[in-house]
Amino acid sequence: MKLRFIHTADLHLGSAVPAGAGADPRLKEQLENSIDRAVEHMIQDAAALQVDFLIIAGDLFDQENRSLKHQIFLKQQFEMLKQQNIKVYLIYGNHDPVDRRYAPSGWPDNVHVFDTEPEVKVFHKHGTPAAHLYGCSYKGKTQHNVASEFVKQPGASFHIGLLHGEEEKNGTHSYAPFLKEELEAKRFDYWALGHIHTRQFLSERISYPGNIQGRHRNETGEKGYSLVELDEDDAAVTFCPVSQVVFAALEISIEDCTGFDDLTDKVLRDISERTFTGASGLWLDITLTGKGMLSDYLEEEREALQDALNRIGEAERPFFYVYRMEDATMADLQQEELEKENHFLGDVARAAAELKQDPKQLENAWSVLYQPTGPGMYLSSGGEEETKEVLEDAERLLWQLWGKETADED
Amino acid sequence: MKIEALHIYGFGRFHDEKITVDSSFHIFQGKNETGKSTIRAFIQAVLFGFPSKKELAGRHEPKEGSRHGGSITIRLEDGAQAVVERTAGRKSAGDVLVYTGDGREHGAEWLEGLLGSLDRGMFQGIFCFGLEGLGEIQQLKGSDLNQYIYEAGMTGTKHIASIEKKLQQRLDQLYKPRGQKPEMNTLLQELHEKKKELREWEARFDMYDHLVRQKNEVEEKQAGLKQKKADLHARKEQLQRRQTLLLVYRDLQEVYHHLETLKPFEHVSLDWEEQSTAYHEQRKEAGSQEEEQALAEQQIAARSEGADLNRRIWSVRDSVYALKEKLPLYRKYSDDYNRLQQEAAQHKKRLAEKQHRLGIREETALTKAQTSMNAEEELHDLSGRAKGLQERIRLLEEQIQEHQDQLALQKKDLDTHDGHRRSEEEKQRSAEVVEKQRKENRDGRPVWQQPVLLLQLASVIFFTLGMREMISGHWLMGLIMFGAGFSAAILWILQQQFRAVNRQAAEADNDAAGHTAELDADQRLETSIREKQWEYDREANTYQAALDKKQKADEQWQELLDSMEKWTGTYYFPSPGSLLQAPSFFTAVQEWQKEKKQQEAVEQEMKTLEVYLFGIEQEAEKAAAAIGIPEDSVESTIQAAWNIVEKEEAKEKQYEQDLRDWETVRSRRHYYRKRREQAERSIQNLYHLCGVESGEEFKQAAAAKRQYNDWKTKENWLLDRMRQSLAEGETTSLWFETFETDDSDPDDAIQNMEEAEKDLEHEEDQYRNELASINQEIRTVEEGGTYEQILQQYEEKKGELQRLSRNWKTYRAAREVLNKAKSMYEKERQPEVIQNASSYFSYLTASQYERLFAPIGEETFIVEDNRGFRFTPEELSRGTAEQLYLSLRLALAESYHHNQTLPFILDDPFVNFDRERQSMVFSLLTTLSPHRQILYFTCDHIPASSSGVSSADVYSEDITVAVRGSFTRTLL
Repeated sequence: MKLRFIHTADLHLGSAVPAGAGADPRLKEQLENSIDRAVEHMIQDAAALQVDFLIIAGDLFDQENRSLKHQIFLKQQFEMLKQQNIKVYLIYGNHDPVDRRYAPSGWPDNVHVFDTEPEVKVFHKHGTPAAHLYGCSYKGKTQHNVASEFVKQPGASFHIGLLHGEEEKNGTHSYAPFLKEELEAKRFDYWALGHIHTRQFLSERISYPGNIQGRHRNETGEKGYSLVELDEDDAAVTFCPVSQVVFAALEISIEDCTGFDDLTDKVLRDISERTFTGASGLWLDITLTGKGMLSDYLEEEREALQDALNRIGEAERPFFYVYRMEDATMADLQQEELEKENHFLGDVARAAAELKQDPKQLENAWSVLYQPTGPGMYLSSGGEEETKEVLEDAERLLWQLWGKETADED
Repeated sequence: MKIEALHIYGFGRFHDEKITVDSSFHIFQGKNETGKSTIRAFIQAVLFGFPSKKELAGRHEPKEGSRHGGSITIRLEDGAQAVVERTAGRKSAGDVLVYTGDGREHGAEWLEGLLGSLDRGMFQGIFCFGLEGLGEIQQLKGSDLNQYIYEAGMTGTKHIASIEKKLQQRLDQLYKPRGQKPEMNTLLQELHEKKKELREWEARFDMYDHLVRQKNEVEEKQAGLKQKKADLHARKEQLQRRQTLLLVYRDLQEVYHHLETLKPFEHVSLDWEEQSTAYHEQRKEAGSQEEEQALAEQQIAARSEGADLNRRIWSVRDSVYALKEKLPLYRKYSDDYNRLQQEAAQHKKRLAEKQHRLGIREETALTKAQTSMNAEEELHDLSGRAKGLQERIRLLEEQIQEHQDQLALQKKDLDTHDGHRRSEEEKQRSAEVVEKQRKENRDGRPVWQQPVLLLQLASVIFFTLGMREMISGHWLMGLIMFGAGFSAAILWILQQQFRAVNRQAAEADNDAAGHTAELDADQRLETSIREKQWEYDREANTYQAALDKKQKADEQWQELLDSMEKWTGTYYFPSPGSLLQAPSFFTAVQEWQKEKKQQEAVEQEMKTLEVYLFGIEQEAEKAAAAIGIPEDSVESTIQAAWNIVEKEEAKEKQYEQDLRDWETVRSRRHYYRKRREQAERSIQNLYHLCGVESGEEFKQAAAAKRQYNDWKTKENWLLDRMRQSLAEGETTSLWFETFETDDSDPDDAIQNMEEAEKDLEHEEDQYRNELASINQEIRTVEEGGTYEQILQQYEEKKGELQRLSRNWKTYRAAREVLNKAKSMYEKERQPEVIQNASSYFSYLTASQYERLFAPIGEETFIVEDNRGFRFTPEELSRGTAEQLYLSLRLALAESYHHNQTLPFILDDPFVNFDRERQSMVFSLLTTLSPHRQILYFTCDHIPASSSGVSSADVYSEDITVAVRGSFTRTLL
């Protein structure tokens, strides 16, 4: 007996995608609808490939934004599968726990939702039980080891676990933590995992498909679903990209660039070297690095450069759009050995280094943002990493300003 | 480090300029625009690189051809010398080459090693001192002044203050904790709004379940109402049916009444009426026909009275018909006969001609001759052979004649040659002369005679052979021989000519040559005669052979004549005369015989025609006699007889026709009378059936019957209608029974029901509206487009806020870094600066101010005078503040620890100092110069040192002497 099914997770339908702010309305709209398009694409594939069933390992919807529009959208998609006689097995995850009621008018009867207590569902093929599916939906925050409660039950050729969670790490309170060894010990044919948005394999038969569509700079590269084919002694997991829009991060060094034309060419070269199957557009996060004369002008010219690139990008196929451009360059004047210098600039370098060691000082400095009714309530915390980055930015800024002052004097 | 020399290759206005810096206190003196600042820029450029290309003015690229750049010779602290050269290169900063005293060459890294991380900006801040620095002090006030002087001891510039100001500006633009306008504050406000909107939407989502419940309730109510309406409708329909059926029932009652009254006419058939009409029609038509026929009968009888026929004609009628038929034949026969007569005459004439040509009187001899195929073939054979033989004889005779002529010719030729012979003596004499000559000319010319002789011979032989062959009939061979002879002759002639040429050349020879020629000619003549004799003999032989052949041919001719004789006998032929003419004679006999046969055939045909013609003439006479017409030519007789017969026949035909017509008319009259009578009987019969007496009564009965039928139809129609309206399980009789007991109208009941129905519909409308508004609400929530939009905007604004706050944090962090750097500086390095500055300040103010200190964290200085009073810089006089500034700048340079003591560059900073102060400053600089080189750029005058001699003649030209030779000078 053979089994073919689609494994997907983390659709996050209804997510807002703020990266498009300021972009051409056409691009912005495409980006905002990209999750819906990706899901439609997957459903069409499911019908075309005539899979046995579709597994969604949690996080169908995003947060608690109860967008009925998307619940109804998904319902329509499932109804299409129903016409093809394709079943859907799904669990809810941390972003759409069961205590928030989804699917207002009920799913069509080809959709099987796992209860909040671990349970087994039986998939019949040609009238005989073909697979046992084990799963458990979230109710609120589920932070205990759910997988350990799954008990393999005889009577079917295949055993498939649905799990929305992450590997246990010391000391962190993660969602539905599990140990890889524990999953392997269950001797299931396949573990359909969800929760981690980056596609990855824990083993040949335990994998995350990643989320279906990138939504921001941390979700880069091609996104899609896994097509799983099981037979008695083999498991083949194929990645199928369905995202129209791909987020990508570029790191471009300004070294050797004597002008912005050089830099533009360098960026375009880098872009042309990348290919993404099926993508009609790239959303780029460009980080400029290296030390060079352009650094001093970047603070003023960065936006113009970004605009120029985007004008070029509009006409490309696939198009690209630079939604973020970060300056992480080193000013031409900035010298690495400066800390030893007994000049005030040496003091500056030493001060920055010292602050990096003790970021608390800085965090105190900007505590004014986090006062009640201040902007802090809308800000996500970047942690120490952010503080370090901010310091680097600050240092660069000081150098740029110093450079400019000196130049003015000449 | 000290600068010892400058070599400018090309920099601004300077080209290949060498300047020696002789001491550690060197003055560059020159008026404005003489290049002081260019030299200053040159020193900085060589040490720290050309400014970037964006700052073109600072690069001082030479306008003329010289190479951009130059070199500086420096002496290091350890006493070593090095030349640092910087020239324009690939990088905008230029390419560096360093030549050290040990003769080695180094690159930019050597210079970097020397200067460390010191750059132009820092160098300028610490080691360059100009008028602007002091100028600021005149401008600034209050805390700005404090700040400026404070930074003079920190970076030597005012950059940090400027940077701090910019940072603060940006921070304020972004966010103020209680502000409204800064970007982040505005954004924050908008975010609050969006959040509120989102909450409202979420509340609507909570309402959704309630709406769905409400919708179900209304839908249930709607369904109940629908049922009620249906029931009511059914009942109303029942009543409406009763109403309809009642009307039908009433109509039926009336129909039954009419049918009862018309009952007696039920049995009357409406067909009878039609039949009666048909019979009347028949009677009328038959009557009129009968009368018409009677009239026609009378007319025919009248016409046929007194008809007369000629009976005599009948006997010969057939014969006249036959004659009429034969008339064209007769004409043809007589034409043919005439034609044949002419033909016969022609034949006779031709026969006579032919016979005459053959020259034979007896016709019988010709008729007897056999002209069979055998005879003809034999004759042809004979005549063919005769022809061949005759030709042969003729040819032979010709040959004989030719041979005779040839013989005569050759004989004559032979005789001529004989006549040409020379006498023997002459020949002998010639031979001797020649012999003598030969002996003289032993190596004579080549001998020509041999080939000439051969060619002559060949030509003659071939010609003769050709001739012979031609005569004997071999044309081809003859021609070939002639060809060969001809070519030989041509060759001979050519030789002859050649020889002739030679002969001309040899004309001068003695007559020995003539004798030799004569001998040759004799020899040739002899040969020719021998040849001719041989040819003559051969010709004679040939002639004899030809005569023999002729003899034989004549014998054969005689044999042929005999065969001819035999042939005429065998085939009874008259002798044809000549053997060669026999075939044409034979053909003429044949033609005669054929002509004869044709003549006989024509005569035979004429006889037959005569018989035919006679028969017809006889018949015509007979017929004419019978009819009684006068005899005429056969044709006109027949024509006349035929006309009479034709006329009689037409008459007879007319009579017969009338007779037949009369009989037909009579039988028709009879038939129509019978028909009329039959129709009258049928009419009476119909009346009887109907039980009436007259036609009028019959019509009334039929009308009554029609009425009866109409009522019957209506009855059926009504019953049908009733049946159609019946519900299941009902019968007409059941309704009849109902109506017999109660036939009241249900109108009122129906009206009541209609009213009830309207009420229900009204109620239904209400529910529908209610449902529509609920559905609308549900749809709005379900589609939630607005919600998505707000969420998107909310997230975008959040992103924007995140970005701005990141910027804010960066600026804030930069400020924090600066603060921290300052406090580090205050702790670690400022004390040394203050200490130095304090002593310079005291020196410059002649110990009026003794102490300088900086309270930690206040970013300002306090000075204390010798009386113990303390002042902030702003409280000092501007002059004193300038001295303080200068002290701090000098102290900053002094306390800048570097492996090299870098030169201090002053650009005419003390123009505005009074003389006393200038002297003090110079005195201080002079004190410093031994361990730190001082490069001083000035416009025109050098201030006197404080420790110097009298101030009066300080300005004299030999100022060098005045300051005790402590500095050197370059005049620009």
